[in-house]
Amino acid sequence: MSWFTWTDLWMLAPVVIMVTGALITLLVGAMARGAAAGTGMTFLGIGTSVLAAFVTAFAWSHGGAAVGGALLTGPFAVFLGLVILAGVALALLYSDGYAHRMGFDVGEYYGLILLAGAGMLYLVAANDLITLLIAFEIMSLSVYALVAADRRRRAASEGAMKYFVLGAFASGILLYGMALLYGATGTIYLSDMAGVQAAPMLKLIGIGLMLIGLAFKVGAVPFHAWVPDAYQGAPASVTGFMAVAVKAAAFGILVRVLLASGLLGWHASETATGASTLATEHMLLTNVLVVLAIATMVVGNFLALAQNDLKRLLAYSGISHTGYVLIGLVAAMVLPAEGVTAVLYYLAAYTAMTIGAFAVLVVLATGSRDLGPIEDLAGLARRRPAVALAMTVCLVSLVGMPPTVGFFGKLWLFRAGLDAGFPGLVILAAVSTMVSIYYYLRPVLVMYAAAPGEAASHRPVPTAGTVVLAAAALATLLIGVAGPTLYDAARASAEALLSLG
Amino acid sequence: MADLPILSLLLVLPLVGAVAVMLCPRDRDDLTRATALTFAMLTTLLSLPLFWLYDAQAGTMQFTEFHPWVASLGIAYSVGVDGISLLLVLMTTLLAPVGVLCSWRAIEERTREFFASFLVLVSAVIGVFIARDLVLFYVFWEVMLVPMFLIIVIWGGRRRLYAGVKFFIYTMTASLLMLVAIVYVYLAAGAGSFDIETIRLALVEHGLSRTAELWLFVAFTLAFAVKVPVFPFHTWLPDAHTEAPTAGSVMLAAVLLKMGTYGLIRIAIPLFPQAAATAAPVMIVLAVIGIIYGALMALAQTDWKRLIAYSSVSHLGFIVLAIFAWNETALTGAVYQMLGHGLSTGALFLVIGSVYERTHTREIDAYGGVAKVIPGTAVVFMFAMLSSVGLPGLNGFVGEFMILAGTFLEAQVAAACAALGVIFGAAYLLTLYQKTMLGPLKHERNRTLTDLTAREWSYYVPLIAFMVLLGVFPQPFVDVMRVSLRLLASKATTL
Repeated sequence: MSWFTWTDLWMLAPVVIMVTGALITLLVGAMARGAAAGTGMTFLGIGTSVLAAFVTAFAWSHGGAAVGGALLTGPFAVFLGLVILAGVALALLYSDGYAHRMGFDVGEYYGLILLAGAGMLYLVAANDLITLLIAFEIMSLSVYALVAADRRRRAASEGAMKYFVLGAFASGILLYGMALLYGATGTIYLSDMAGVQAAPMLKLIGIGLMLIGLAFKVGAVPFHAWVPDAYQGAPASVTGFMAVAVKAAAFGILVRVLLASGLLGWHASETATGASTLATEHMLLTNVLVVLAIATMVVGNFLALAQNDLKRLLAYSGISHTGYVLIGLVAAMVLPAEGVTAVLYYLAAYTAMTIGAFAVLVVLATGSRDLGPIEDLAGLARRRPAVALAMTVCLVSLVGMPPTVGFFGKLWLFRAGLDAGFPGLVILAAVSTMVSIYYYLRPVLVMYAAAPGEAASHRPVPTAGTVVLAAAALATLLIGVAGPTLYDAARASAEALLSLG
Repeated sequence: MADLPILSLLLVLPLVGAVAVMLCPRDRDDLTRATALTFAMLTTLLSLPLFWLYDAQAGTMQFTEFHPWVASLGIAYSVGVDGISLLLVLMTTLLAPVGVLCSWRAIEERTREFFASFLVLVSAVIGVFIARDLVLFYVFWEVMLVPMFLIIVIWGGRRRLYAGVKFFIYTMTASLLMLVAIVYVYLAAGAGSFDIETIRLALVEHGLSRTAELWLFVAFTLAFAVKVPVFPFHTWLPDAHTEAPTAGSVMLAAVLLKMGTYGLIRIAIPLFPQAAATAAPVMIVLAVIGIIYGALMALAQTDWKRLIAYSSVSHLGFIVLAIFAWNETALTGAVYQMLGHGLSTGALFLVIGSVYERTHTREIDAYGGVAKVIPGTAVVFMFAMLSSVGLPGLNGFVGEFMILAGTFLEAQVAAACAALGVIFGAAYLLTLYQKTMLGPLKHERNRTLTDLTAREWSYYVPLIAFMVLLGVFPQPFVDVMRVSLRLLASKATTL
């Protein structure tokens, strides 16, 4: 057997395409400058991600291990891959003009987004621990640099520095967990771990440490300290990108790690041997996730109440949404198919509505300054009714009101949580949502009821950003109503993953 | 005709209207208004045949449509009406053009957005009354909030922000627990469907534990009680009703409050009959407190609109009282009064709206003796007020009488206390009428007030006609819902 075949190359193609796009962008960026070059690179990048999306859909959909077991493709990886690539493409599109106005080095900027996308794509398909770590670092390092894209602002450097230092720490913990896991199971392949008879405590600690490393990336409390500063410091375009794409990728691999623990969906009745230790492990891991979910929802929502800065508000809102997704993971511990479906659906939903909200910040950025306090949106509904309406749709969806996609996302999460037997957790999620009504309502009120302020000037809004905004708002509004397509896709992906594992 | 999906058309037509309104040119307010009116009238016309086509002898869900939505979870687009929801849908569609007409001059800025919001609101409210699937019901229930919120905070009175936010937070907070309860009851029923009747039958077959049933009942009832509003949850109402523009107040009072009482009789009580029986004494006490408290508060108001808002708290108390008495007479009275209150309180809000348009004050003291200047308004006000008081010959009497008669069979003391509320009702409304309309003209500036225009008459006349019709000739309306109510009453034995 040759160690590398054409099939392997085909399986790697999505990542290769993204990396190639990133390198070309970097090269072009080194030579060409100006707004036109920026637009060129936007479309080069979008072309790259669309191509990568097609290749992903074709190459990965059959599933199975590839590249000597380094990758595990299949509908699960395709689903998250497409969500991530959608995030990448939308982020590139709304950056057109914005990146130039803000004075970024556009070559680096677009190149890093593509590179981060490549890392995320690689991450959701990673099957061995080495690939996992490499993909994780490609993603992380690119995003650290992106946070600091605006070199003139100290807040950007500060946010990036905090993110980097804490992130490096989290990577270390992740690596430590991986080492322990390898020691316990004797294999580096995630897909093989579940079946291995392993030293229980060592394996559990390994899984737990990996959980911490990934919880950091998704911004779960108490590993969230970097989120507000990084989100506020980063330019709005980057914040939007990392809010959705990093979260999708990190949750994707988190599901895979939990699956590798062999405890996902474990029932005492199914296995007679070693039932008592497994029961203890299962209970421990479930409880850890429950505590994470509770802390994340409560802290995220309550701290969001006190925020006045738009990006910071959305940062805490992002934390609270991580908390909701964690309910899906808790549910998956008992009912894997339902739980993972809810997680996948929510990640897709969150991408649509959050990209939309950040697109508003991007199109409204004046000169080289992002919107600051909520009051900057004052009177937007008078000057730009369409933008205000789109923002309202996205915010209403973040609250979880029907008929938006955010409502259906919550519905599936609630269903999974209740079905799995966690009514208390679901009620807490409902109560947290009540709290969130207040802070999501504030921007709406300011847009509709306050007198027009400075930011709502008559300056024309950039076309590219408006397209993203319209697309995101429409998706937010229609995906939920348009029927079960997304749900069925998420369900099929979840089931395919579980049968593979 | 039978194949025509009337109910879906009723849902879609106002939405199409909303889009059409938004497409009108910005500076053509006349065109905007005409478009909104056209679509509102079309909705009314389309809904009228339902009344005659409905087979009241069967009393079942009719005009049903069923399309799987998320088939794997048993969520469906499933709509239909029985005699009860039919009447509520008709009331909604009748008030749609009224809402447009009364905003004709009152809404001068951002006209397109206003009428679009209003039409979306109408569509969502119709959806609540025709939904047979719990998820679908919840969707409409929540969708309604956003346009209503915007109507209050953009076009409302001086304290509109406070009122709007309070309204939104109160109602949405209460409904979130209902969402959890919906999912829970779906799982507990294990029927793989969100259809209300399917879930009910499954729950009858293998009952819930007493505790679970009680909690679920509380979660649903809390959402409905805030909307009604039942006594301790009523504080959003005076603010929202007072600050909303006239069309908003009319829709709030006439239709939106009925969503709460409708939810009680359609969902909360039939699904959880034992819990309802347990909770009935509490609810009855709260209802009676609401009746008396609302009336006393109304007596103390100096703001015309706020007085009427509090009168709603009192009147809705009667309906809740009758619902928890749960016999056929009381339920007939309850539904009848839902319609009647819609007409009479709707008209009362319209009158203060008409007057406010001319004087820009709601203070009762700013009027006095104006009947001589504006006799037309005075006559309309007289009808609306007497209908609200429950004068025989107008709709209010029929509803209140059936409510009190039905309740008396189940809870004499409560019925007696409630009857006291009728007297208070006469007191505050007659006083209001006397202070504003009768006697010598109190302020010179009111001498130049203009009377109702043709546009205003165009909606007052049908409203008064319906008040008289429902008052002297209730039989056709009672007949439409008789069998449906009997079927409903058999689903629970509250008290």
